[in-house]
Amino acid sequence: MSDDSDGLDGLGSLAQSARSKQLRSAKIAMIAVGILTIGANAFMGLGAKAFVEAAFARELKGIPADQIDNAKLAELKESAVKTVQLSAVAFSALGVVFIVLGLLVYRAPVLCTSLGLILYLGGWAIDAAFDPAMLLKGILIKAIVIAALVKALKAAIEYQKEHATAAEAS
Amino acid sequence: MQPPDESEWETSGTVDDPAAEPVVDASGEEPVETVHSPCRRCRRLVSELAANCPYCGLRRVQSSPEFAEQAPGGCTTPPDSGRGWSVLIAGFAVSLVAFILCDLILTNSALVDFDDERQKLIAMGCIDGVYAFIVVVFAIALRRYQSIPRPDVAQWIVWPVSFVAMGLALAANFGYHQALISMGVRELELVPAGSEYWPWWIVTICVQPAIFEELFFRGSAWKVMSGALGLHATVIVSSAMFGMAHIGVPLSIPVLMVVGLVLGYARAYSGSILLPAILHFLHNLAVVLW
Repeated sequence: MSDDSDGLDGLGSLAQSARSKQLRSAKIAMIAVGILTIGANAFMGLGAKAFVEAAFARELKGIPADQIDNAKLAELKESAVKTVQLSAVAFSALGVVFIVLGLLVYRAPVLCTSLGLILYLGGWAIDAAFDPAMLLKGILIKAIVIAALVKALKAAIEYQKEHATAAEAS
Repeated sequence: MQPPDESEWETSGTVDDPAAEPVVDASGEEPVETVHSPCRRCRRLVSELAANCPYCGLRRVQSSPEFAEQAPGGCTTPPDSGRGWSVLIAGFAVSLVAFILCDLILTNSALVDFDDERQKLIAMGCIDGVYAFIVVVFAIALRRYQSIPRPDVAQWIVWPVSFVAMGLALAANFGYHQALISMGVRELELVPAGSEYWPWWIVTICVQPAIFEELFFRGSAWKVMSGALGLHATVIVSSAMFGMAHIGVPLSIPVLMVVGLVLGYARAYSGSILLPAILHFLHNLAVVLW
């Protein structure tokens, strides 16, 4: 039995090793998402005025100039620019959170993977609420990230359980 | 040591099967009825009395009320909490998608004129109804999960402190939104001034979220998460989920997470969703009135 138990303990270590690899994938995914989020939103924040001008031009296309209240339009544009800039700052902060969660994933596996997954799904939903086309844009990459985070969450739950059991046994 | 004859285990029956043939214990004395549970590694049924799984050798932790108290957070979560997390995340994703699709349908079709208050109220009521249905479905799916026991703090302390904390969170909410307005962000008018549909707005904005959002975030989600995360981490994750669910007002998400923290601790220390539901109702009422 002792030979078998060595082999069986080895099986347990293999399982933990596999879970650890999935956590590492989640770490890489979260850090990558964080860096991309910060980059994309920095670009959005710096170009907020241009984006808002372009969006308003699309909406006002075909409307005669004498039907537009220019004072109100200027006020709306300014408000829109401020909103875009604040959103860019908020999403950049979210990107920082992703990086921190990725770095801390081995310290608190379930907490970090679950938070990362929730924040990623929420971020995607916010994008889609503003621009419904974002629901399907880049869906392959988003599906891969979500799958990695879901797998990592399940692995994290088992990883944490085994750690707790090992700690109690010792 | 040889593992016991598999045929004995096969005839020993399943968990709590009264028709099962009882297992003979090692001393060969009178048969002892045993309860079986699946091994965490190989998922085969193993007697609760066994120290090690006879199939894969995994050391078994004895299930007992004493163990449940000693386990991290004193959890009574069923063994397969991974399924619970899958259902929970699916529920969260479905509710987000449902909100986006409803919003898409209502804003881009000719069905609703959002300048007409009555139609706007009906549209919001429909979205609330869809959300309520999703919450109830997932509450039923996760009904078997149990929360960790609440900390031993007197309720006559918990309730007043929670109301004070919610007051502070509300002040932070108002201060935060005033700061946004001063930065030039347009304020969203929830209820038109002088509206004749006040009772319906109260039901839509105050009563429905207090019931169904609490049922999801501090009810079903709480039960699944608390066993794996413990008290403080569950409060953090549930408040993140709560904040992120308000995708219609994304700039309010940070302060809503703070409100979610207050509601989460109220749930943790009161042991039920009644207190957070009352706090949530009062918070939304204050936001609508002011």
